[in-house]
Amino acid sequence: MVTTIHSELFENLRLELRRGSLIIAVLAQLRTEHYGYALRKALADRGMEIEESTLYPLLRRLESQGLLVSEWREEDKRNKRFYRLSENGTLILKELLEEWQNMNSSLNRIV
Amino acid sequence: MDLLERYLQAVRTYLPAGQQDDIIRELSANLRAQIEDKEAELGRSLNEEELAGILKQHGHPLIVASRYRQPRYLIGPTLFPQYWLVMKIILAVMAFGYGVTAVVMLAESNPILQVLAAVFSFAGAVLPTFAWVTIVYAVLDLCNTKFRLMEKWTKEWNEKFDPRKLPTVRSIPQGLGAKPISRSLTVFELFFTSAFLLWWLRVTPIRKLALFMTLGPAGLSDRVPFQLGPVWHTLFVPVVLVCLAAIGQQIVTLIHPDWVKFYYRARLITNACNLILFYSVIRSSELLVLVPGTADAASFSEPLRIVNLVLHYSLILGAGITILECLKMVRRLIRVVYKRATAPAL
Repeated sequence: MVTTIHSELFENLRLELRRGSLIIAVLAQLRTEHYGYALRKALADRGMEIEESTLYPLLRRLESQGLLVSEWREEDKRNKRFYRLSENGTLILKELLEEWQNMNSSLNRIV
Repeated sequence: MDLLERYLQAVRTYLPAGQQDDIIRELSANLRAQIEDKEAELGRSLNEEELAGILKQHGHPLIVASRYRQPRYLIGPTLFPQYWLVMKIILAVMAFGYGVTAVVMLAESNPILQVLAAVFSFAGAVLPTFAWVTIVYAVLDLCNTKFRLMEKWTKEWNEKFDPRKLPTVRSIPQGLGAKPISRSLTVFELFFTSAFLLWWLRVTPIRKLALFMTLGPAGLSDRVPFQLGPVWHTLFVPVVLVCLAAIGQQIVTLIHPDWVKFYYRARLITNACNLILFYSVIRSSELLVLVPGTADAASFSEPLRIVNLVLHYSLILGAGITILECLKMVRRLIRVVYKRATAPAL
């Protein structure tokens, strides 16, 4: 019982910690154009596993916020939606990376 | 691929109407790419089980579709604490109002069943009240989300906030096992102490209600052949005084719920007085006696003996509970005084 509560608590905290980091990872990876599934593979290859059902809606949300742009294009005889970082997204990513590095340095000094 | 089409159809059902085609087209492209990727890896087409595995890993259609929706609340986390507080206050006021109405109806000699019906109509009134308060707050939340009201107000409040205008620290700090006494509990106690006092002062309808509660419909009959024994008459004035003291304490607690030490001390004193009263009554064997002039008195002797026995043990039980209550008050009082003395300065 205690172990279950402990692991549930850890899982909730882990998800909270990951949420912001995932956005940075997605934005950074989309400096190069990708479609949904290819992006997921690219992230997984770099150690950032993410569920499809989380990634695909996230892409649409980031696009609606103006951080990404997308276009439908044919590749391997199949139409796919390709995403890349917008101009605004590039600026925001730069600021987010600075913030993340500052936070990381502070945490390193604390822990 | 029939399985994939069925899966996409199921997801489509739960998607926002205006975006269904676009989302399904994209999802379909991604899933097909994933399937082709797997097929390339295996060097053959996927069988049904493998395809089902990919779709299962992707998630239940309802959950997948829900991720494309913005989180929606009837009442969001910003307004919910305020909504809940208002709801509790309104329901407490209603409960008090219905309680007072019941007492007034009894004092005006309305039939008991009519009074009980009025009390139970409270349950019927709660539901519409609950619904209306919820609707009002749902509309407020909608306006808040649309016009970002809380954001504006929070900014304004922060600008106007001056810590020097905060109220002075309460006499007993929080977090030391001395939480303020619950007002709803005090209202409950006040209501029942007042009802008991009215019964004691021989307000007939209250007496009838008490008999109804203990003896059922037979208690409403005018032919109940029992009356209180002589021991109760000697205690008439002390009981009235203890009740008045308890009511006084409850009114003070209602106004100042943070006067915790006063509450524990006053409760300790009234409970000690109650114990003396219990002791005086328990010693008597004639708690109830036959009404003088009752016809066929002999046939009532056995029921009277049983009723007296039940009352006797009920009073012993009541005394036991009062002793426990006294010990609880002493323990809490010691804890409050001790912790306060040893608490570090804030």
